Amino acid sequence: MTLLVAPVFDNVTTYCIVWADNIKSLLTNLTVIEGRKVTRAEVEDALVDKKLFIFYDHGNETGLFGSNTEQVANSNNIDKLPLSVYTMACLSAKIYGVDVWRSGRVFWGYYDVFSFTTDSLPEFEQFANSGITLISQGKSWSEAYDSTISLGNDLAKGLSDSGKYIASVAMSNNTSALRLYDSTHAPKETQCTFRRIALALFGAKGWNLRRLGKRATLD
Amino acid sequence: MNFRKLAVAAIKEEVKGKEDNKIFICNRLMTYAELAQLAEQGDEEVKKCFLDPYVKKLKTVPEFRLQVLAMLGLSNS
Repeated sequence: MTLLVAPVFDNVTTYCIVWADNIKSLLTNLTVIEGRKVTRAEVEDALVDKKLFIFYDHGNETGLFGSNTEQVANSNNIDKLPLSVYTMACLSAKIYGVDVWRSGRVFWGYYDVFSFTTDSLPEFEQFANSGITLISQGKSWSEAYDSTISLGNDLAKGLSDSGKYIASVAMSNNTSALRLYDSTHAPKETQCTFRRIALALFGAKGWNLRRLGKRATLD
Repeated sequence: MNFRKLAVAAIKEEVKGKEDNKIFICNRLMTYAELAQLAEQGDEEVKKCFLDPYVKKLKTVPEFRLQVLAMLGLSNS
């Protein structure tokens, strides 16, 4: 019960759809929307009764893009999402991923830009697909995250060992930008000064100040 | 050691012979030749998305720094 969305609408998306195609065989009960511009309405329709939403390609801080002009997922349609979201979209962990996590869901994405070089496409594909590959093999999200961070570090070293320093820097960037938000990995970064103070004071509970406040009042 | 100059020199050196390779950074797909040119010109986006991380890796990963210095025919001093 998985929805895989991999739009194609520019040069970059023609690379990433190949990576998305290579995870299809790992997934059962799969619905695929790919290879063209994708609308928000068709994604929302296809999300019904799904347990996992996989999205390959462009994103920004506030959502995931099905075309140059439309976000197919953002904070206004989180209620349509299944329990888990997996994406390689740039920047998506910054605001959107936090909102997804705060709604009680698991989010896998990137806090910064996802980079790749064409001289090392297999390595970047391996890294981008690592999490979902491990999940499909029965690993937990947490195990998949730890293994993927190790993989990213190993791949970055392998690239520099073979003289591909530009690719190695890009791989290191991706590795440090990868985020998992779940019950054991709360977001640690925020743009909000007050939230930053709350996180420093209360740790992950700083994301639930209203709940903390209510409990303190009741006590 | 000026790490920024070192990073720009390393990028320019690596690009030789593979100018047409492409890199996707900062939401832009560019050739290695364009990357080297923009890095040298101090393009703000390339600096933020790629040059700064390159400098950080040079400073924090000694093995990477040694490899880059070797590529440039320099020693670690």
